[in-house]
Amino acid sequence: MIKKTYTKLNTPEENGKILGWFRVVLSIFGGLILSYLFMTLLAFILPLKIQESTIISIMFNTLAWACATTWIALSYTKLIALLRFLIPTTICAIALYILY
Amino acid sequence: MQESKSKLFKQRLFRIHIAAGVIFSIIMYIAIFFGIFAILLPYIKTWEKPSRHIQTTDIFNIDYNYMINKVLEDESFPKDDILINLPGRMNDPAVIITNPFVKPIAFNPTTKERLEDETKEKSHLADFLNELHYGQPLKLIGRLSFGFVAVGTLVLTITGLILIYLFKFANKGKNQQAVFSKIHVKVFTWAFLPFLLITLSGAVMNVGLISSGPISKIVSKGQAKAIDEVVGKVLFEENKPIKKLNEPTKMLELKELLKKASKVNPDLTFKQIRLKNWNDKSSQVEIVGYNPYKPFLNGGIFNRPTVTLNAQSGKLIKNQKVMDKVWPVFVAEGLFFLHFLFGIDIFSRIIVAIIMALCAIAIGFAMMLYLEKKAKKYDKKITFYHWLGKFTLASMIGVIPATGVLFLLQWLLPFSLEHRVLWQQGIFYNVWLFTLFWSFFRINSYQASKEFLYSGGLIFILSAFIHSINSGFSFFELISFNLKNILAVDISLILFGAILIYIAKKLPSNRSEAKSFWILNKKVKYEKNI
Repeated sequence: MIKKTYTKLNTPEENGKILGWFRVVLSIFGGLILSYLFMTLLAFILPLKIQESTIISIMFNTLAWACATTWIALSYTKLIALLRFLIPTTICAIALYILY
Repeated sequence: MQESKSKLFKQRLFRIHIAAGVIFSIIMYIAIFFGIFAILLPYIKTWEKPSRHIQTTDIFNIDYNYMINKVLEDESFPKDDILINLPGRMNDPAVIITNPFVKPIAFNPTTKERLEDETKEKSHLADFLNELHYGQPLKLIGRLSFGFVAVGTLVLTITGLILIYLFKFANKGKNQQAVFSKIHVKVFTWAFLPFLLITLSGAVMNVGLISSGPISKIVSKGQAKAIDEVVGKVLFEENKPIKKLNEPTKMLELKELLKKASKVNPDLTFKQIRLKNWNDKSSQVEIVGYNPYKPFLNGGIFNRPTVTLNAQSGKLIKNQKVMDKVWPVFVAEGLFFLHFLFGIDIFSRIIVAIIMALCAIAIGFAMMLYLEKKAKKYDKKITFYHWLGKFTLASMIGVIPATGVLFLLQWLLPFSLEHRVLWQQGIFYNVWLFTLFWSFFRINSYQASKEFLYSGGLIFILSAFIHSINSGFSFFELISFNLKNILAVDISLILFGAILIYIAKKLPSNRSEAKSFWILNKKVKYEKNI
């Protein structure tokens, strides 16, 4: 079962003219979660006072969302799309947990 | 393998761009369309109000103290933290005395008389156009959906830029589609940067700030609930109350203080005065200005240079210049500058308006490109009749006569009419809805769009004449009373109407005519006709 799903996700689609629900939903909502966590983390990372760096985060929040959505949706296979969402999100979440 | 990978990548890129474009472009177009009117908001605001058909005068030559005393005679008016908007701020010819908690009071700067200020129920044209620009008529739902459209447009900008980079469009227009594509690509290749900045700040306002709860909570480690508590102190100047000494003292003339402030910082044009502890020994005046020599760094909402003076001796307390802020504030200011254009002169406003108008046209052509591709499938078999095409026609072209009706009714409806704003807006919505019906009714969309443009142009021209009849100021009187701003609005309404009629005249009236119409290269056209 797992192996079957894995091969299914890992096989590239035959043409890119149709995006498919998996990609659409993952890129929009996954992109949102990823960019939100990343921009929150960015406020901590930037070498500024937290009040000042938060301005940068807030200002570029939506642009980050758009970038993340495009980045996830453009991946070669569905598996890569899933990983592009899962790996950075986990890293950001753990880093935020430590910093909080 | 590598080849199929890049093929898939390109196909998906195109697919995302087209799908997102079809979903978002109509609302984006509407936002830009009303945004252009919002850019010219200060001018429309003086045009729409009878009370603002007055001459203005030099800000250094107005008896402000008399007006303040007049206002303070009213016991219920707050004594602290009085704001005075100088004439010329947002192009308002009047002096406005206000406070965050009360209704503003307007004065005629030359005669010192109190003006009968129109309420929101009486005259609400410019602000309504501005509300339509960001979806306010539908409250939170409207604002959020306009915000999501802005985010979608960011996706479109990113994918579009990659597409331009990857494909290097040849732009050799041979047929109709190629011409549409050429216009779309050319405009956005040149105008993507201001377009991106404006869209980004729009997205920040409608989505970024609304959804900023969690980020502020995490960043402040659970202390702050809203974003204001985190960034408010950096972005906005803190307004600390000064301790009152409770010794009534005579204040200096405000115009003298203004002259002093302009000596302290001669680069500034002054917009606003804040009075602290007025008529007390501890009183201060904070004079807010805009430095036109440093655009993008000040003049929006976050960075406002000020000169603070002691109100009884005129001594300088603080001179806050443009560059006295930390750089994240400049980033925020730079982003919002193009969107707000608060203190900006008419010249820059018109440039931004033209760039945005070009972007709107480019969006329109992209939509036509998509529809043309669809229509091609049915070529020569049946007439192309698609709900999306009709809907797009009504929302993109139909909005023009509907907006014209707003302008027309502003001076056609008598100001004594009860609920006149409600009538005006109701008729506007109904006309817009009627254009949707009309576009479905007319099988030939070319004909329908011509009719919309003709009627739109006629209504816009009429509205200027109705204004000159019903306001009591003919065009010559506007010149002789030196009300140039109002005259400029009238002239631009007539010009806009004339352009619309010209376009309506030029456009093709059916599909077969349209095919040769867009080909600018006459040689190709000639060969085709043979």
